[in-house]
Amino acid sequence: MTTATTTLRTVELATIVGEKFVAEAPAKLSVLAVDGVTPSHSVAPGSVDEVAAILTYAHEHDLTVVPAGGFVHQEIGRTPEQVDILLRLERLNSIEHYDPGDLTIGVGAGATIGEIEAMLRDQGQILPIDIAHADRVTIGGAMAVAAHGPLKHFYGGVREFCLGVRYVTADGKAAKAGARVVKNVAGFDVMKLLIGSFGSLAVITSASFKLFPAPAVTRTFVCQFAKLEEAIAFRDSVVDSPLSPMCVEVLSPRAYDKNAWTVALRAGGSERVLARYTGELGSAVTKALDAFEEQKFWTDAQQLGQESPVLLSVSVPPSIAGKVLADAEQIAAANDLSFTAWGRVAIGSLLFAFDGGMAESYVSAVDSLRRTLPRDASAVVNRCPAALKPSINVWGASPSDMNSMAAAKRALNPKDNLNRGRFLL
Amino acid sequence: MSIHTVSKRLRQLLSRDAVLDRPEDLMLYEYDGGLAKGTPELVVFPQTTEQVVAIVRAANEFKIPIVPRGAGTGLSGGAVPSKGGIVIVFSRMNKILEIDTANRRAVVQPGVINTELSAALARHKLFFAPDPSSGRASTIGGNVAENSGGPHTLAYGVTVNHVTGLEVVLPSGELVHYGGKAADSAGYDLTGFFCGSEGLIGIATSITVKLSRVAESVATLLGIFNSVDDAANTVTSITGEGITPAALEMLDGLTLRTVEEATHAGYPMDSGAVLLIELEGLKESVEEQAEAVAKVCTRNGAREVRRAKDEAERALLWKGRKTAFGAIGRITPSYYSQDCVVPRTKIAEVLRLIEGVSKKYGQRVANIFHAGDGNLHPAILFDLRDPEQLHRVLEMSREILTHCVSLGGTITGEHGVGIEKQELMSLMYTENDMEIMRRLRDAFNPEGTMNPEKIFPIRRGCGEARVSSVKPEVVEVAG
Repeated sequence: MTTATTTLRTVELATIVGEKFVAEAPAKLSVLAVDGVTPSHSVAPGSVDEVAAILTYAHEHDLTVVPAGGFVHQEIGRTPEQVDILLRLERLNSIEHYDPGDLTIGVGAGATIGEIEAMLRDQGQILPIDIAHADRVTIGGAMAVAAHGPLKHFYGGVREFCLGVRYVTADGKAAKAGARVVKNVAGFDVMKLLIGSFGSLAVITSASFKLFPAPAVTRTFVCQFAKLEEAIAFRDSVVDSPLSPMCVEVLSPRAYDKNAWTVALRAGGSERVLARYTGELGSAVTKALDAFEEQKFWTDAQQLGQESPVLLSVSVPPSIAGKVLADAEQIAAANDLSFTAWGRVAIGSLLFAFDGGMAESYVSAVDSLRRTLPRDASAVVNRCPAALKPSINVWGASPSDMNSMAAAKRALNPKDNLNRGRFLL
Repeated sequence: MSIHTVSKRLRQLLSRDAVLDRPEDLMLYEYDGGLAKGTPELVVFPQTTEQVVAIVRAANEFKIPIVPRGAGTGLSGGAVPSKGGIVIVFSRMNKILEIDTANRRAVVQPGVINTELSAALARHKLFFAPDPSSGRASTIGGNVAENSGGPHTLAYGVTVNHVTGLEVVLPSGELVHYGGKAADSAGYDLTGFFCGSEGLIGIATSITVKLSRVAESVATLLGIFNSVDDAANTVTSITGEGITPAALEMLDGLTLRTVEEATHAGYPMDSGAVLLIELEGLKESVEEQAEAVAKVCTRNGAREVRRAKDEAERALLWKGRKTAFGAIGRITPSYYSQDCVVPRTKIAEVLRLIEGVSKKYGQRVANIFHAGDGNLHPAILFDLRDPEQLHRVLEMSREILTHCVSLGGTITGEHGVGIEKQELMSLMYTENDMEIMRRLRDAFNPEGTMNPEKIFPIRRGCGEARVSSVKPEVVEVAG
């Protein structure tokens, strides 16, 4: 691209968002590179209309657009060939409505999970997206990657509590779907398509969510076992019991205690309810954590895998979670990799980190692991060195029909200029 | 001519009794639980997925419309063949294919009835959470198409929250799979998108559902109030205490008196409203919550709070709720039940509005609804034989729904848009909003032959068209 067209583009983008919110200097933009690909322009729109105008412009000029929030999950996906416009949603961060009595909230895509959490805390309510870097992860980003933490065990993923969304299609149509009430079946559930679409369908500009009352008291029961099978048997007994914990998290030896497989159960309720947990769990409990200790346990758990070069998000039918953990451990050993695993073991939502190996050993481990999985399981590489991306299959296979996905994509992102080349299709 | 060719071919493909084309047989498939009506040209009863594929392909050859149908209990006309064509009835695809207790999943054919699935799961102490009030007849396929709810959605969520995988015959006749037993999968959440798409993007021929564990303890309370306002305020006070009941239902004075006369559930005849509150979970937590709920009711002016002592009393309290619409049928020749949702803090406000609308138009309204979700089902009493009354009823509905939308609510919480509300979509959605949804429909259903003329406005001066197509009696088993 010549300097002349770059400058012209800057001027044109500036007429949409104002000069102050367009950047084109490579020096400024290199810190915003996506897998080492520096965007030609960065724009930060201040309204839905501006987002629509930018996307219309990009659509008309065949420019590729990468939507961006807090840059926490931007490393997920294939390497883009080029990034013409980095579309920063950080200015769309208003709280559109918060109605404690209704247990609902509507927020701009650029609002961070941390800001929302802080606001809800005062009212004793939660939005159950408990993830690392909450101070940076935005609502738009959390929806795009279907972010989840240990609370997913009880509350489900974002898809289960997102009530409505405002979004702009790749060709610049601003639209909404859903509503802000907890029950609504008017029109198609576009939210479901956008959640977990990694910005490949449309740009989310705001969303409404159902909130939940925070439990009065919580306690975490740390239960440790010498063998994985024992940990899984314990999980089964919990699932079959009348207990309904908020979290049932497995932690492999490297994740918490090198001598044990740990299952951490977090329960909420009154002292009487928590006493019932103590009684039911009996001798399985190694220690019970309260208050600060409990907080620290879960904060530490969020840090797992943050430094690992290769991180996988694995979703399997719950009954094979034990087998998959065992297989993954063995595959890691066979490839001379160290292996750390954790996750929502009762619902089959797991995370694996591989460390300390050569490039080819990571590729081999991921391929081997995928070969052990049934058709309806998924293993997505959430992180790997950019250099590995050409040889590693980031997304793996999907159990869902690819032609149907392509049809949905054609409807919302007809020229494939949103996150082109980065997603599964 | 084309329909006869298809009819002949399908008779060869399916068994002879699986294809109906005599006018007297077709008449039975002209309507569902709603007001709209349309006559099919052919009704077919497939038994296998392969047969569904064959039917869709045969229809496509001649661009014949297809309307999938479960039990026909829907209330929005979703299963009505307004453009004629073929109605595919799933009553013979009614097998529970698998109960997988280790994964807490069941795989079912679309014609399995809600209560049949519950019965099959009972010995495992598991259940499928969506519980539409039509559950004794409604099918899981219909639940998926409409994204059905029910009284217990407050704690458990609606159908989409309990479906992880689908086998789908697309409008093209292609057989595809979405998701599976795992909770998530790489790629777009087509399973989630399909739920509630009202048969416009395909036909589910196999459904993988999540199962929930039956709670150890249940408490059912009845809060009796002198005024609707007190009952409405209690609803927000309960959730304000951090309590999420499994169900939180309200019946207003007119409804509860009508119900009491019919079922003798024990609702005091002179009260203004009752709340039916159900709590589930660990017995310790249920006990605490029951005490807290009773206090909240009293604080909000409840004149009495009763608690069911045993299963028989519990069943009686629920019987009043579940048969309420039937009871209303005893005091009116017809009624029209709405399905609007408002934020739960606005319940009192919207009930006052409904009362005003009722007085303005001179038609009585009985209110019975899922108060915890803010999902109202005002039933407008009228006489269908009087066209003027019907006209007023439709006007009243529009006025009520417009107000609900202005409060941040929706035109339908669980019944769907179908034909009934297609012209009301513009109350909620802009042209752009609907254009994108249409694009999605067209991406899957380019010829528009799968469940045509549903959800989206078709601008046919609807009010009039629908008045003339109304069937003579309204039989409703509303959510």
